[in-house]
Amino acid sequence: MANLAPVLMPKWGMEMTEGELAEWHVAVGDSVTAGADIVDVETAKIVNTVTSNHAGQVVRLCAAIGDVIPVGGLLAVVAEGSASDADIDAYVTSLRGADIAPAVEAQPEAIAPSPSKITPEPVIASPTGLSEGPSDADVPASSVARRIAAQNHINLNNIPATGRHGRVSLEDVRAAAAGAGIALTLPQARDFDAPRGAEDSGRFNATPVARRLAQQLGVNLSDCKNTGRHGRISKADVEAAAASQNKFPVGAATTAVAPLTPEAPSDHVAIENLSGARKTIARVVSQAKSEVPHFRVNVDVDVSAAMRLRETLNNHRSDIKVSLNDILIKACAMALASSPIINARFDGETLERHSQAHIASAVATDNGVLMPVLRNAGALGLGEISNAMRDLATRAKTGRLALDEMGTATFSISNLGMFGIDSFDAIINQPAVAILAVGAAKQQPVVRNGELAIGMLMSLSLSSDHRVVDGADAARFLADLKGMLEEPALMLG
Amino acid sequence: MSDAGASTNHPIKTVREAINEALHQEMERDPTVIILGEEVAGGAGCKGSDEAYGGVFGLTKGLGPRFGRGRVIDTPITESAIIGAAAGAANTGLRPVAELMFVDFIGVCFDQIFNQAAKFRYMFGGKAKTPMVIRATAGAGLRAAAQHSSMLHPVLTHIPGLKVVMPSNAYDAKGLMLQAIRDDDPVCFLEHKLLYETSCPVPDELYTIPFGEAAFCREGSDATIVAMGAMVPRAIAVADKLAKEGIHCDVIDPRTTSPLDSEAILESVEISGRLVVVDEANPRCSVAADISSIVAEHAFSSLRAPIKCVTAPHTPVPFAPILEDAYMPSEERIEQAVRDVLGGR
Repeated sequence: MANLAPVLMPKWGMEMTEGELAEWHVAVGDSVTAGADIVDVETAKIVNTVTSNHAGQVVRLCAAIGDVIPVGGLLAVVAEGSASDADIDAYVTSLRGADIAPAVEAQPEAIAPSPSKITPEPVIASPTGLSEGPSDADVPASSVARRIAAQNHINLNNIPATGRHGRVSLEDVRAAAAGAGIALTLPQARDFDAPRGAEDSGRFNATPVARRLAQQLGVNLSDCKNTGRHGRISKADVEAAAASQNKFPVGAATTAVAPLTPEAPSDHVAIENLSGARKTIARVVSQAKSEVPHFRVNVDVDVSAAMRLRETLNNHRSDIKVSLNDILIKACAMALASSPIINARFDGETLERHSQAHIASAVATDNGVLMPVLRNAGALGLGEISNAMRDLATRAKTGRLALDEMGTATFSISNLGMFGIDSFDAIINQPAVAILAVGAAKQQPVVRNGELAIGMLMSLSLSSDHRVVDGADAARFLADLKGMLEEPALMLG
Repeated sequence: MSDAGASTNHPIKTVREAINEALHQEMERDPTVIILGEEVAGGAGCKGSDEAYGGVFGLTKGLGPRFGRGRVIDTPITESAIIGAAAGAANTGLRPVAELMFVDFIGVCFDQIFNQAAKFRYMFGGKAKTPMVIRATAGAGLRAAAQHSSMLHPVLTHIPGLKVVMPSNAYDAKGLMLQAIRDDDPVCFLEHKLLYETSCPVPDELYTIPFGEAAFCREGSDATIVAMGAMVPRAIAVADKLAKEGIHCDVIDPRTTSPLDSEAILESVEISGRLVVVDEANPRCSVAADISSIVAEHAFSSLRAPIKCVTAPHTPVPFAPILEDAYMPSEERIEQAVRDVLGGR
């Protein structure tokens, strides 16, 4: 079979997409040498002659004068040796069927100054409102703007130019497209998959801190979510990925002294950001501890009588279940009524005295301690206090407290009795001026009227803000409280 | 864009021929254009050498006999005098093209360049202009040792008031030279010695290429390679090699480093997200560093990989041929840098 070769529409310059046949230099049957003139082609800018790359006989002319053929389109077939019509037909069909890559104009020797496109980007958009207009080949535009406009079927004549030297810039194309409501399609930068390893390629969009941490922890950025700003992988994303892979910082461990035994397990340190709630707690207690001059007054209270009261109430009322803490709240409310300086709020400038006792109780939740407030506790009966407290604690643990149920306390109670703690000091829940720390009620030997007896003792520690509360104020309040708890009948007065 | 060079029916000319032709044609067209420099006409006082010489690289060959010694002036070996005379002549209305045999000698006339010529327009409140061209050979690769091989365009680009041109091919060389002569500000025109014998189609007629418009020598959206001067053909060779693997790069030749077409570079990086800058100059405070900084500042969010600069090391140009070859950015180093920004491809 003969050796067949095509003559294709060349690409002269980056704007050329097609050419019009002007004049044949050959006819079927002519012998040509490599480099021989085949046909004149007219483009928007120039008339030039297409030459044959191969020697042989012209066996087929595949277009007529006046035809407009796209770059890379078949113009003629040259055969070396004899070829049957069937062979030529098959060859032409195969060329037209196959998507022939547009011919690249041979580079002149050394450097060609002209841009020569290696892979023409296909037009990827259908005509739009910006597509109409005369040829835009002579409209000054930056190379990228021209490329993107062509791909999006946008005629540069329709774009106001604000770029350098009056060129149409990419930004201009973008603005015009946005103005016309056209979604511009930009070439997608391709992913070049790097081999997976601890060293990531730079292709992941990550913050510098995240990138550094990932390297430190041996986390591959491709395993991280990208929840950071602008879709970047953030430090938190890397930490989350590290945690899920049980990878922890090794810096401290590697510089530590040699372990006692080679097998000694290394210290696994998990690094985490504080949650919003925890950050609030951290800020509030730091501020209170550093700003407020705390002082403490302690007393042990025999709660035997209060326990008996609780038992009596719970035995006679099936609708309530009073706790010692509920009685404590009631007692505090009553004692506060006669110690108004303790039932107050102070912001460093002004003192706010309250006639009602709004008592906050510390509730442990998954997100840290919360201080829900029981409003006007003094006006409530023990049953009401009990029910209200159960409701507040439940809602605190499920995160369903209302805003005005927190932060409005005039007094606070922190009770760690359920853990068997004897006594402790609490940090004031600002801007309230005092907080009561409550330990566990335990059977202990007591001396009553010169006789040794078994009492039910509970330790109370009152932390007060010395800027507005003096020692005597605190002592008087605690004495009142002790009296009411030891003789609950006093609460009725 | 250099579209006029795209069609192949122009005669092929070398960079040397293109610049020589530009000088001839512009001196013919504009009687205020003069040439001055060391041995630009012929060996001073040596009879019979006029026609033969035209500078050590022959760029001004034929100008002396054609336009006479009044317009093609052989100077003493005193660069400060050459540039000082040219700057003064420019202020009086002439358009001098002064030649420094090697840009390495710019040190001795630097006051005339940066503190005089570059500032005249500014110091005289816009009432004076200094339309002069300083032509100088530049670059390594000719086994000329450290004192005759520097690439000093970063030093010149740094100075406001100067324009800095670095043609990478014959077509650009002619168009940029004509623009340089017609420009009303001092222009430093750096000719890389390795490029003098490279050639491409160059139109016979006069044409200018505006300053501050980059040429896209290759197009592709996978990576952006910015290269200057003699580094452009090397970058093109790398891009062509990678294209066979299906990796397509924009190869951008800024053509002038001052003004710099940063818009073209930023637009390209915005698409590709990957940048390699190739520059033969030393790396510190260089144009490569400047372009990296511009992209980092204005297109940081587009970057998909750290920017790579392929430059000479921070040393003078070595004389030993093996070392000199290792000093200049090679195609291998450029290719490796592109593969690096592509993530190890």
